[in-house]
Amino acid sequence: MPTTRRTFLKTVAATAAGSGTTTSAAPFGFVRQKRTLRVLGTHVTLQEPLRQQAQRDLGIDIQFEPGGSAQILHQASTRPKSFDLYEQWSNSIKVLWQAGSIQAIDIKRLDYWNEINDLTLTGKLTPEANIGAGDAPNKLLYVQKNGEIGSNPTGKISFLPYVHNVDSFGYDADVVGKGIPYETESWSWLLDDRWKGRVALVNEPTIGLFDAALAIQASGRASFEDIGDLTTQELDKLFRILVELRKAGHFRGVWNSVPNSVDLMERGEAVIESMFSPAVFALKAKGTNCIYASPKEGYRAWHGVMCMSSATEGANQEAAYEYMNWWLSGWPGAFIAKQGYYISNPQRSRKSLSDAEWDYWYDGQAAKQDLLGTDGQVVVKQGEIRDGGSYTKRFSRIAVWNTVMNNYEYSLPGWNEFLSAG
Amino acid sequence: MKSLRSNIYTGFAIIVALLIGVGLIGYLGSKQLSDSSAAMRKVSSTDAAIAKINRDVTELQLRVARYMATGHRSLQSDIIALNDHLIDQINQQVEAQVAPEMQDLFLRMSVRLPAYRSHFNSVIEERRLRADLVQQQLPNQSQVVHERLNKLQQSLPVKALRQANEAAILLCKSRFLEAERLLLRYYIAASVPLVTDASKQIELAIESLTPLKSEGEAEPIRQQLIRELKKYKRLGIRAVQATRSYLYLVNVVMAGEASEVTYFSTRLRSVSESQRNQIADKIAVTTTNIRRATGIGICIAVALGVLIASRLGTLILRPVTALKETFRQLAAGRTVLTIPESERKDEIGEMALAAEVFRQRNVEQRALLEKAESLAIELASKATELESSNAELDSFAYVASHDLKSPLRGIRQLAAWIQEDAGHLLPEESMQHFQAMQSRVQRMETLLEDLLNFSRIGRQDTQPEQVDLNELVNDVIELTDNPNQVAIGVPEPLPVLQTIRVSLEQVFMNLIGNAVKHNDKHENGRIDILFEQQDESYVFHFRDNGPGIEPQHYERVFQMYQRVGNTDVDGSGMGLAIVKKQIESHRGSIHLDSNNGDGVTFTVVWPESLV
Repeated sequence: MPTTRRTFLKTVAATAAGSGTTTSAAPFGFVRQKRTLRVLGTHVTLQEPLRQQAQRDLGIDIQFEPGGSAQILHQASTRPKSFDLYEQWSNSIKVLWQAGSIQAIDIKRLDYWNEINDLTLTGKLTPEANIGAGDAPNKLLYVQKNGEIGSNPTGKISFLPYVHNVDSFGYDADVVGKGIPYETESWSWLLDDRWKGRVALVNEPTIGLFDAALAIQASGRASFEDIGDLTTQELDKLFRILVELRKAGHFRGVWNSVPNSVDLMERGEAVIESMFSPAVFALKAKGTNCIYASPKEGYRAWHGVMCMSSATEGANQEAAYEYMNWWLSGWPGAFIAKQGYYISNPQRSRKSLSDAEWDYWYDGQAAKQDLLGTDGQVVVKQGEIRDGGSYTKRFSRIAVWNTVMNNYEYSLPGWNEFLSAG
Repeated sequence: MKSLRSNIYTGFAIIVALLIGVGLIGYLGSKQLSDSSAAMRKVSSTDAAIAKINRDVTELQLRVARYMATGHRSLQSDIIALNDHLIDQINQQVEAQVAPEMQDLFLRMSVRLPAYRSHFNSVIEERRLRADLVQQQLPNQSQVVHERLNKLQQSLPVKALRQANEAAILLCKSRFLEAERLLLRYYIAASVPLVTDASKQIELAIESLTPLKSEGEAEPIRQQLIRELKKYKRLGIRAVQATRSYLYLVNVVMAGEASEVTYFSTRLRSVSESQRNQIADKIAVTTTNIRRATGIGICIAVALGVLIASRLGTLILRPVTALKETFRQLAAGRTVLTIPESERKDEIGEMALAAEVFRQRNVEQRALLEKAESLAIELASKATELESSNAELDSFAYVASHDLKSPLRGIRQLAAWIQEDAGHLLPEESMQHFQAMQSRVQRMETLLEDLLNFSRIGRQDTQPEQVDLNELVNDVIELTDNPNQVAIGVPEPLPVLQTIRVSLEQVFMNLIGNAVKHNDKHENGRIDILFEQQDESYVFHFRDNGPGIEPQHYERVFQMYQRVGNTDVDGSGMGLAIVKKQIESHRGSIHLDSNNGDGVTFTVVWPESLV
């Protein structure tokens, strides 16, 4: 719902009342000029309830401009003046930073910086956890003195760490059969002949390519030296295998959006496919026995990034910082937790979650009651346990991070060949 | 029992119903086949459309690939036109399809190509931008940087520091050249490290200017150079972004859309093939069903036809044959004891009843015939008896007349002798008695003579002879006592015929004599003899103008000793009886017509040849 002047005044009045001042007699001119924040991003985080809540909480006119990954990345990297904040995943950081489209964020202005957990800061949630291949968020986090981005802590960061998750593939357990997490569930299932014609991948080389590489490696068809940075030869090999499989009719195809992936499984066109967390819960809510696999080879992890446009300054910059701080203030983290995402300072969100919700979403315990999603629908039935278990358990098994590899451009025609084969 | 008609009608109705049924099966089957053929044509048409869409999608991808390789502007419009054409084709199919599955697939396919086109527009834009950057802006900027470097080099004021400054400038220049080289390499064969390295080289180039001791007018030039280097980097990165952007759009987004279109067309082909197979199966099943149903129908119709025919045969032919035989026997007049099928209540039963009537009549007729036969036998016997009696009577008459003539003649002779001898002795009265006795004897002699003549008829075994009727008639007229001179008209000439003269002469004599005798017109009396020859007989008419005969006497005049009319006229009453007997003994006939008081006409039919 767009913010009207009336709701804005109400918000301001409430804020003022909370601070003990009286605004009723204040001349209109004292009311702070309304600021506008333009947020460019994907549907993962640019959700209307979040926008409404942020507007209510901050009194900022927030404009969401959601779009496809490639489109928004292109827009962000070429037209920094067209946005204030950019929300996507860590694999876009290198591009944006190189393009000079984003500016460094001052950690001193981040209210909850000290609460950011080790996953972002070190790439490992726990000391025992394995660090995944590719660009872990810590490798991209800090702005180095030479202007590049790296892992050495400095006072400036290239992105605000916030939403993150581990992805794998989802499967229809009624068709595929329920596997044992971390034991039998494997990326190799994606290439199992039994699901021939009913396998889908996400149409994004920086993501789907890793799903394919993990599957090929897990099935023993090939092995890769560094799955996060495939060589051209390895890419050739990978695409050769993918093209052969596609020609043999193994793949249903690729999907471009979460609803698209839901649709594929709901229709039964795909029974196993690359998947993002909301799709799993959407399918469960629709009655599909979809399981988010916990592959024994580990997950493909991703880290959301919130970046500030290099062109944002002044009041807009201040609003941008307010919005970034709002994101880490608890409620938004709790909100996205109900969609299966994690936030970089989870403890602050805990107070906005019921114990049952925290125990299910973060602790990997059986749901003590039916749990509602952000749309008010039951997404978790009492007694269910989150696929893959707790936050810690899941993030201790990262196989690879979504990454723009050095041979990214090389991989694109190969990806095209894969898509066009058959 | 139902009537034969209703049985026959029921039989025909069943056969006709079966034929209609078979016809209906044929009609419905052919309609179903026709519908299936129409559906098959539609599926084939959809097939062709899908194949065309598939070809066009492949062509579209090829053109995009060519465009990516060459960047020819003409290909842009080709691609857009082909894309629009594809959208039209798909939308047409969305409209045309009725099967939900096909429609859904076409619908899902239809959303892909507008997105494809939108992405291609971005590709064109990014490619144009990249070309502009790589071919125009970057070389220009490179030139600007080099000019600034040269200018900076020239503006360095302090000779003592020139060497160090020149080294810094050279380093800057070499790093910039390296960045240029790296970027150029990127534009030829894109790779992330090249961009990272080029970016780093530019940063290093800028950094290499830091130790530069620039004073005075050189410092603004140095600052300007740094700005130009940053601008070069920005432009270079922008070109990289444009490159990445269109590579991503073409290889990921557009290829993804195209792959979905291909997927849907494959699905459509599969659905279409399945539909085609279903229709083909349906056609095969329908054909088999029609053949089977028609065959069964025909077999049933034939079987029922045979059954009904044999049933009707049993119902009709057998009894009709039996009845026919019965009728034949009845027609032959045989006696049939029982009529078959008479217990039936149908038409055959009715026929049997008719036959029963026939049989009964036959029985009656036979009885009548038998009676007639017995009567005939009886009649014959009677006739024989009669003939015998007649013969005896004739014989008696002959004998009597013949034998009585002699004593009567003796009596007459004796009486003459008595009269001669003692006539004069007898008293008058006795003399009168004596004369009366003589008259009676005379009359008795005449009667006996006539009776003898009558009995002689048919007795003489006389042979026919040639008789000239002209002579015969003249002789008869001459011999006839005609005191009143009654005129007798005779036709001339009369025929000459082969006959018994005596018989015919007696007929003429009696008839003419009778007519003359009985004519009461005296000298005005007239008799006309007329003659005509018919088929095998001669017809004579004897017409007079005498007193005529009353009709009630027609029969009597021909009887023996019967006299009609004036009894004073001399006669025995045997004349016409003799005539009739003469004529009939020769198989002729006689009848008379009389107009009361105006004469009488005797018509005699005399056979031409005698039997």
